[in-house]
Amino acid sequence: MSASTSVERPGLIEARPVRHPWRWVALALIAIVVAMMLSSFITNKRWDWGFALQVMNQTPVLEGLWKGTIIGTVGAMIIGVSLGIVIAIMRLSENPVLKWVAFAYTWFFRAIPRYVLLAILGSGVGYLYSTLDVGVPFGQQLASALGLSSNLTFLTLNVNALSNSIIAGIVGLGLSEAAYMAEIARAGILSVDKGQAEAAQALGMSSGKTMRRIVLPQAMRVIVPPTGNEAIAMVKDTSLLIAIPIIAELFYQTSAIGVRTLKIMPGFVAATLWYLIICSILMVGQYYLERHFGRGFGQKKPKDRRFARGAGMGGA
Amino acid sequence: MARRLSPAIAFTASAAIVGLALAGCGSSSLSSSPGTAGSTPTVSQTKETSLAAKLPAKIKAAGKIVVGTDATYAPNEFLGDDGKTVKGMDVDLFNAVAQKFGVEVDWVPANFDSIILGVDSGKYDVGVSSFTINPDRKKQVNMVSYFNAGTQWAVLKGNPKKVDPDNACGLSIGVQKGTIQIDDLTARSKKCTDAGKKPITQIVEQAQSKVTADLVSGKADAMLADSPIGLYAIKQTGGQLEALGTTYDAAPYGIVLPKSETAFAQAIAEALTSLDSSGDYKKTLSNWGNDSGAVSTFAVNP
Repeated sequence: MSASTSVERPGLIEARPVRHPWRWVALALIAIVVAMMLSSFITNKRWDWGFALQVMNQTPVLEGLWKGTIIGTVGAMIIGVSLGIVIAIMRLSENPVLKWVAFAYTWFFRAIPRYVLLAILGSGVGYLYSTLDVGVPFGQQLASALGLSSNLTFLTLNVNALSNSIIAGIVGLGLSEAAYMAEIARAGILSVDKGQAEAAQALGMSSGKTMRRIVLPQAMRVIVPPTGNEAIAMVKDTSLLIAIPIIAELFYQTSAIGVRTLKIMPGFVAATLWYLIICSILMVGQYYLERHFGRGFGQKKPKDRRFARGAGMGGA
Repeated sequence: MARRLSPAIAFTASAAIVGLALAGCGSSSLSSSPGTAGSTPTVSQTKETSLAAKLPAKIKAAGKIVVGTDATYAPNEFLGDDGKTVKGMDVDLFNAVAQKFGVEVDWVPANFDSIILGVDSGKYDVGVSSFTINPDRKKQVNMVSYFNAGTQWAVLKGNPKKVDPDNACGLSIGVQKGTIQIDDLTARSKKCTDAGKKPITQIVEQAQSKVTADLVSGKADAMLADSPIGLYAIKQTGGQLEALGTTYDAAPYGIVLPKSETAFAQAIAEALTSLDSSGDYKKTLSNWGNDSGAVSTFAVNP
C-alpha cells in the first residue's frame, strides 16, 4: 500500500468530445433538400395550399370523412375484432372441425386483396345472388316438395340495394380484418402461460369463464398494440371503398373535387391532411391504451412495440 | 408512470386539435368552382297512363326506376357540388322519360364497366351512362337509341406536342376504361406497329374526369372521348385545351335494359318520341349545348 503513494498522479486528461464532421455534412445536405422542398411548396402554384384547405372544409368531403372513413373504420373494426377473437378461439379449440373452419377462413381472407374483395362485393355478389333469403335451410325446396303455403323464409335482404351502401364496405373490410385479428388474438392467447388456465380450472372455473376472466384479460397486453396498428391501417384502407364504389367517402369526394376543378394535387393534399389528422388522433389513443393494458410489466416503453407486428400477421 | 406528455404525443395531439378546429364548419362553395353549363330543366312532364301500363311489375311496385350511371362523365352525367346528386344531360333526359311513366328515378353512381353487368343481374333496372350502341353490347342487352355522339380528340392549347390523330405512334393518349375509344386506339396502335413504328401508349383511367386531368397535367399528350365530353372538357378548362380535328365515327348512345325487357325498351322509345314531338327533347339537349347530337328516331337495338 505504501508503494501507491510514490506513484505519480496522472496528469489531467484533456478530454474532448469526439468530432463528428459527417454529421454536419449530413445536416447541410438535409437542410438544402428541405429548403428546396419548402421553396417549391411556395413557388409552385399548382400546390395551391389555400384551395386544399378549402377542399378539406367542403360539406361533401366532411360528410365523406364522417360516413365513409370514420363510421367505416369503426364498423369494420367492430366486426373484425369480435369475429377475429371468435375465430382465434375456434382455431385453438380441440374440435378439429372448428379448427379447420377457422384455418380455412383465415387462409381465404388473408389471401384475397381487400380491393378485389370489395369489387366482388360491389358488383359480383349481387350478380350471383340478387336477394339473400334468411330462413330454414333448404326451406324453399322443402316447401315446394311438401306443398307448404309458406316457403319457410323469414327475411329477404336485397343484396343489390345493399351493395352500394356503406354496409357492404363495412362487411367487406370487417371480414378481411377478422382474418388478421384472428391471428393477433391467437398470438395473444398463446402468450398467456398455460399454468394460468390450469390454475383457473383447478379452482373450478368452466373453460368459457377461464377464457373470459383469466386468459383474455392477460392476452390483451399482447393483442392491443397490433390492434391499434390495424385500426390505423383500416382508416387508410377505407379509401379502397372506391372499388364498390361508395361515394360518401373521403378520398372519393376530395378527388372528385380535384378532377372537377382540374386541381388534382390540392384534392390529394386535402385527403392526405385528413388521414394524417385522423391517424394522429388514433396514435395518441393507442399510447394510453397500451399504457393501460401494459400495467405491471415494468417500464416497457410502448414505443418499442408500437410498430412491431404480431406473429403471423402478413402485410395488411 | 410519468404523466408528462412526450413531444411526439404533444405534436400529434395539437395536429389533431387543429384538424378538429378546421372541421368546425363545412362550406359548400369553392373559390374556383367552374361554371357548370346547363341549367336545371324547367319543363316537367305529365304522366301518360298508356305508357305507365307498360312498366315492368317490379318498377311499378317500387314506384321508382333504379338507374346505374358512371357519374364522372360531364356534362352527360356527373356529381353535383353537393357530392351526392347526379346531374347532366342524360339525367335530365331520363328524368323526363320517367315522369312520362309517372315514376321516380334513383340514380346510383357506379363504375362504368360494371353497369351492363349490373343491368343484366337486376342490380339496376336501367343503365343510362352515355353507352355507345355497338354489336357487342347489343348481344348482351337491349339498347334504346337517344343521342348521336362521335369521337373527339383534344390536346393542350396550341398542340405543343404536335399530335396528329392519324400518326400518334409513340405518344401517350388518355382514354377511359371500357369505352369504345379504347378499340379505336388499339386499332391505331396496331397500324403503327405494322408500319414498324412505336405503339401508342394508352393511359387508361377509371373515370373520364381523370383522363381530362391527365391531359391538363401533361401526363397524357392527347385524349380521346365522346364528342360532348371532349368539347365540354375543352370549355370547362378555360382555354387550357383545344379540339384536335373534327368529330368522327358518329354512333348513337343507347339506354341499356336487360334482354328480357324488350317491351319496356319499346315503351321508353315511345316516351322519347313523345318528348321529341313536344320539343322538350331538343330543349334538354340545347340546355347542355348538345343540340348537334339530336336524333330523329328512337329505336330499340338500331
